[in-house]
Amino acid sequence: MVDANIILQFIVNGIVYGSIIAVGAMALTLVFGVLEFINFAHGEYMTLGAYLAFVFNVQFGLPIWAAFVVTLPLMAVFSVGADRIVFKPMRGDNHVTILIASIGLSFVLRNVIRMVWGVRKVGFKTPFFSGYKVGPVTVTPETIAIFLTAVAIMGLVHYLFTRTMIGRVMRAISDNQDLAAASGIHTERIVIYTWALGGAMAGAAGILIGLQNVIGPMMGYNVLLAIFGAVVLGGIGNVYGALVGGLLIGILQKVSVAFLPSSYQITIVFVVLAVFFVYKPDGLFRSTTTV
Amino acid sequence: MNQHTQSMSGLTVRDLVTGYGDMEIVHGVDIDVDTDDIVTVIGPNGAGKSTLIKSITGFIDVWEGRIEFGGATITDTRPDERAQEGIAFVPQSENVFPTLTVRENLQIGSYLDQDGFEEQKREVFELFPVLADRTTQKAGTMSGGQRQMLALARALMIDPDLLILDEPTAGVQPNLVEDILDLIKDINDDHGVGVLMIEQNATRALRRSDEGYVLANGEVAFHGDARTLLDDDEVAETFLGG
Repeated sequence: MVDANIILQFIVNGIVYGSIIAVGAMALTLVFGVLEFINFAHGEYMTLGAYLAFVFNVQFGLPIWAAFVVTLPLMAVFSVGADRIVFKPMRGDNHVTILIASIGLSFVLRNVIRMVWGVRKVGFKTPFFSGYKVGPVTVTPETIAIFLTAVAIMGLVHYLFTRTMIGRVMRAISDNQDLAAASGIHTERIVIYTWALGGAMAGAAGILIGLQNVIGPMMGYNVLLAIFGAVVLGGIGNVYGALVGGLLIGILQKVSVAFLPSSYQITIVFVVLAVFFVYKPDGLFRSTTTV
Repeated sequence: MNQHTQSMSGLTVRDLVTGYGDMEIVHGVDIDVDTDDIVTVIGPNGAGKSTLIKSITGFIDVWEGRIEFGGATITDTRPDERAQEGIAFVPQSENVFPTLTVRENLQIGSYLDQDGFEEQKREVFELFPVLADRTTQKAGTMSGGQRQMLALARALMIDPDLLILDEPTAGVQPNLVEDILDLIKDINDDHGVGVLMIEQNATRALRRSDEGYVLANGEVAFHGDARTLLDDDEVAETFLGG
């Protein structure tokens, strides 16, 4: 029998890891809601965010929080630029075409990252020291910082969605693009804001992964499946669902380590995806109750 | 209630040809809607009524012909630009934002005039008191009739000159059909909003209309005074169910 304290430790690890997955999943599902396609290059957006922050943090010597803050607007600009160059010319085409283009973009980005930064894994310079015990659970200042940052991002997104016109408009387009247009909304303009927000959030998730683990060209791709799992669990296009889905996937993956070899963590995601696609393709929460 | 450019001309549709893909559905239709009037388009299923409305609201391209509103040519403009000109559109289904609350639906409705939100909201709550008690309810959880009212309210938030309605009583309980049509009449009478609507309840809609068009096979088969259409034996027999 596995020790309950160890399970508790894994749950805590899962919540922290899950909060990162949640941020990445919220970004992916947000873009899906407005543009109706799953961006397969999303993993590389995260990786790029981590490497940009690495440049500011390690090469330019900025503190990690400053590197984080500087990277986000750059990722927003990158994400909008990638849309202009790659996706916008195909808008209105077959969805599969755009999906394949995003897979192509993913390969290009991953290999450009390899060319620029190499394949050797690197890490951020942080002032954090070793962990301390809270009851039976060990936490590190890093994990606390990661978790609080993720929660802050979720709070900001919630604020944006419920208290600002631009956020409401994003949700409205996600619900019904034509009705938004009939209300006088020029959806192409909102697409820009959506990519900016999605890119910044992807970059943030990448930096948090780099803080928790290491930075490498495959880091984003490696968590992409978990992010897909979170998005499906929450109902594709449902940002709040992706938040819950991310936390659940994170906890499931980490707790599985108590029972299964740790290399099986990704299998858990496959099982969740398969079960949900067969039995609950709309996710845990139906995003609407429309007839 | 009207801040938009007033024009005697209202909506003018001339020789409109449109369709989907390679299939031409509307073959040269002329329609005029004065912004004081209620104009109802009736006709059998597949006559091209919805296609016509979609091209007037900008959701499908006009192949030939022209559309003018308030004196400006809007033939090739986007749906959001037509909304800006003062044309509000309520689709037949999926006409509210289901995951948004009633209040948020109305806020999206007043996107083009956000400062006017509170005032406009007061006016639509007078028309639809049922919505005033449900501002925090998600639109997706409302009944068909309430949702239809929210859809109308959302469209009125831009303070339109012309309201275009695709079957406003579809999916509404039978006892509410008259209420909704009366509300549309009130909106037209009291707020000076022109109405162009498609309606299955042809007789009941025409009774409240100024003018009527009968669309059949993508062409205008009859056009005239609503009363004349109601009294016309041929129209009655063919399109009003005898």
